[in-house]
Amino acid sequence: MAITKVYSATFLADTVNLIRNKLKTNITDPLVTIRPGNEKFVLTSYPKRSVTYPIITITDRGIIQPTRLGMSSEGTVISITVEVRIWARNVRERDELFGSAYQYLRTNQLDNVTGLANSNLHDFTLSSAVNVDEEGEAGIRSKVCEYKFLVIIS
Amino acid sequence: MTIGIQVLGIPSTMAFLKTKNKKALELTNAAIIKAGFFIEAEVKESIAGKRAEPKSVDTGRFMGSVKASQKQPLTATIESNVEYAKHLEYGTSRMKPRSHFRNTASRNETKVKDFVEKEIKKL
Repeated sequence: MAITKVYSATFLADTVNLIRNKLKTNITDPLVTIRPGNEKFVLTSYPKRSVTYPIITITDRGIIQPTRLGMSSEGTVISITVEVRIWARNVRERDELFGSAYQYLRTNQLDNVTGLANSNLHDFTLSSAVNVDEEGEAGIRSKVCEYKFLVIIS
Repeated sequence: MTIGIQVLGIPSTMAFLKTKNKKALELTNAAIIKAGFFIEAEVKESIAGKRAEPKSVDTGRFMGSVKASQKQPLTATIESNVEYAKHLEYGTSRMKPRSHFRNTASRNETKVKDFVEKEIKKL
């Protein structure tokens, strides 16, 4: 099901699925022509079966409620941290995919129809990006990126 | 018609606020240093398996490497300098992340605020 908006009752799942769908649609898979049909490029958890790299995993890294909307309001502002992790075969591929994902998220916030703000994901921030490279020539190169969004729940 | 308003005691009020402001910064900094040491201990407890995260002690090198320090005013840094620390924290393609640092930070956010609040109340 296509997620177009983050709703109050399902804000956590909606956020993760929305970011997954946006990246899946807008980031070019370097293996687009040869990736096996039963494997995905963008996922919401690290797959248990064997995968073909590169892949991108989207997970939630917790939420906090920094403020309420007012003294007599049950509405709140929730800060959600979303981890977008790039798993790639080499440093160049890792950095290019990171660049594409960041560029897409950064430049698609304010569009009136497809923007993240229109889907109720506001205040886009990249709070950290850490390289976690495994040893050896064939070691997987990954980049753990934490993005923060504010969601208005009312 | 013209009305003239004269506010008395501005220089002394400004001097008073300046002193209080300096004192508030000193107290906040002290609270942040205390909170840093508290978080260092909490990360070590997490590594030792006494929190929700799995135990990450084999030789004790990683646990012993976690240190809190202040690199600039009003900040505290809790870090490890062992090369495999980020593999444990973020996981690899063959191992799940253990998130000792990140989980400790989110678990203790309120406690860090309490440290600052407690010091500020001394003003």
